Amino acid sequence: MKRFSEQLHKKSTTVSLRAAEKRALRERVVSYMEYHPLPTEMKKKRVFADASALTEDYRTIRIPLTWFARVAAGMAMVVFVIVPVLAERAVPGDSLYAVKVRFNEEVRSTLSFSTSEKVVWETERLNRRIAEARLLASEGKLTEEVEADVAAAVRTHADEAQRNIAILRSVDADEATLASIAFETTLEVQSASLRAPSAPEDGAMLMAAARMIDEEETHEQTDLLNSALQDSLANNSASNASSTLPGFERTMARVEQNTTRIYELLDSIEGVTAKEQHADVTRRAEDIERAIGEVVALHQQDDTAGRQALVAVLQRTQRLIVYMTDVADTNAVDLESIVPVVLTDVEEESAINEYRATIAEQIAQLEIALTGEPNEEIADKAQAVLETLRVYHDDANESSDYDEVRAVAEAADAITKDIFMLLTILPPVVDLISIPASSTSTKTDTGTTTATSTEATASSTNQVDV
Amino acid sequence: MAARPKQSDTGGDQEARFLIAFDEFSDALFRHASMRLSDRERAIDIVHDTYTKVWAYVRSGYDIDNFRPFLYKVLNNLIIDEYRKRKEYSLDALMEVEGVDEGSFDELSESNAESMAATIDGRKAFELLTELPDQYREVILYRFVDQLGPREISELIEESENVVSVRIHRGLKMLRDKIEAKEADAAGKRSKTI
Repeated sequence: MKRFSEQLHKKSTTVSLRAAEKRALRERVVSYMEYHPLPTEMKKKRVFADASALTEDYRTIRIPLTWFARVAAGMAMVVFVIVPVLAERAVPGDSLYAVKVRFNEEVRSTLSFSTSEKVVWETERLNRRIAEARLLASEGKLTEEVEADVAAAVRTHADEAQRNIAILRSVDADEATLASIAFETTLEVQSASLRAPSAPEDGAMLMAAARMIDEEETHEQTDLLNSALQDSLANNSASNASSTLPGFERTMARVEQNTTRIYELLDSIEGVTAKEQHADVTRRAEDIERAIGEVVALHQQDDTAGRQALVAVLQRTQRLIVYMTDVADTNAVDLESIVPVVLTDVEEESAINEYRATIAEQIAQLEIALTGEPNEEIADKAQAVLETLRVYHDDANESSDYDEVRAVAEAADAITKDIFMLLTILPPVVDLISIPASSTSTKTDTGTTTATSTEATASSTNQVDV
Repeated sequence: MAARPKQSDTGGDQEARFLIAFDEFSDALFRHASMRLSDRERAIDIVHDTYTKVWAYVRSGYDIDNFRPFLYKVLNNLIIDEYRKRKEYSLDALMEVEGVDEGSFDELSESNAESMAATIDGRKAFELLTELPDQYREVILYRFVDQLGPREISELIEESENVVSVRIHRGLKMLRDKIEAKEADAAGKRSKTI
């Protein structure tokens, strides 16, 4: 049996594949495997036991169908996800700006179903246009052409928002009024931010001087934009003339929504912005909370007055939101000019006392300065100012109304500053603490960026002396 | 069969193992197919089809532990399909004509098969294999060329081990008869020429 088996087996080995046949067969099998690859979840790596089949004199390049599918999926990913995401950061003049405005924003616009959502979205788009213009202006890239485009876009979005408000008014008057308030407040804040000069950086005199020159240009540049905003504001006010005060409950609901949003924003900027800015905003939020309490009390006594006061609070919340979301980062405008601090009774009393003390201090300093003044003409003028200050001091002591005392203190501060410009001794060290810094900076005649404000003051004094 | 639905193996391992199985068994599979079909080109195609079918099985998520019996099984099925296409001789008809009973004691005994085989010249038997009906040629090829055990053969052709033993015994007997007949024929021719 063994012999037979061996003989037969040995003989059978003469029947075998020739090398070329075997190689060809292997190639056929391998190419079948390539056309029918393992499912991706099974396929982590491809290892061919023998690569000899691939090192022939010629090679076949195969492009599997799955390759096309992957490329198509990749392209779709790029077109519908990556490009729109990148486009979100585009500003006018960028190649992706058209994608942002005509694709991203239009898609979102289409997805806003209710009219009030449309108003909110158009307001947001308007905000975006102005933010873009502001960014370009800060980089010195806001050309007239771009500004005209932005102004046109602002008008379009404002018109669209107003059209939607008008539609909304026929359906739900209260909602329309609330939407209109939000829209108008946004316009006001943006308009204020474009008008207001930038606050000089602390200690950065050089920057401040440079900024002064920039502001001149920026102001000229943003005129067109500002006029667009003003027109829209005027249109909105005109169309709102006939509107009534919205219902207390609905307005309160909106105020609550806004305060929630303010606290969310406050949380999100914590640690990101400067501590002072955070404290400023927190202070406004607390003011608003207090004002809400007062409004509720007022509403119980007088419905109309309560509603009016609540609308004012709503505007404040809206201004604060717009400031926090769109304006704060640019430092273009001071928060005080948008949402002024509302003092508590205790604070008002302490501020009144401080104003009185400041006037008294200014009188004392002027008296000292007067004694050493060599120029008689100036001394006479200073004497007259001293008399006026004493009158102001009496007025301040008699009145207990915060606004009145503040007005008197501001007037006293102004004339004190004027007279010290003339006097040859140094200006007073005492300054009004709570009064917003009045513009004491004077532009240099030379207009060079190296001039500091101290030098500017000195040069002004010299001119008077001469 | 040595396959189970399992996904633990990585795709790379599966591909590598499959190609090793190609390098290792393609010659033996070709030899078997070629001797059963007596058609070299067709045998190559059938071996190709065998591998592509097994690959499709791997793709469907089955992890094949031992490729050899699996490849033989697929090859066997493809050869049967090929016979059916040719219709030169029907297996069913052959079964009816030849008949496969349980076999006698002699036919069932492995030692008897051995003693029978000892009387046959393997080289001559190889030449005459193609003349055997396929059901005998099949088992003899599996047993003596591919060197599979009776149990493996019975699994492959889906018959009992007894049937396999009977077919081997009868196949060998037929071969011996054919060799003897051929030798007698040759001797007759020689005596005539003398």
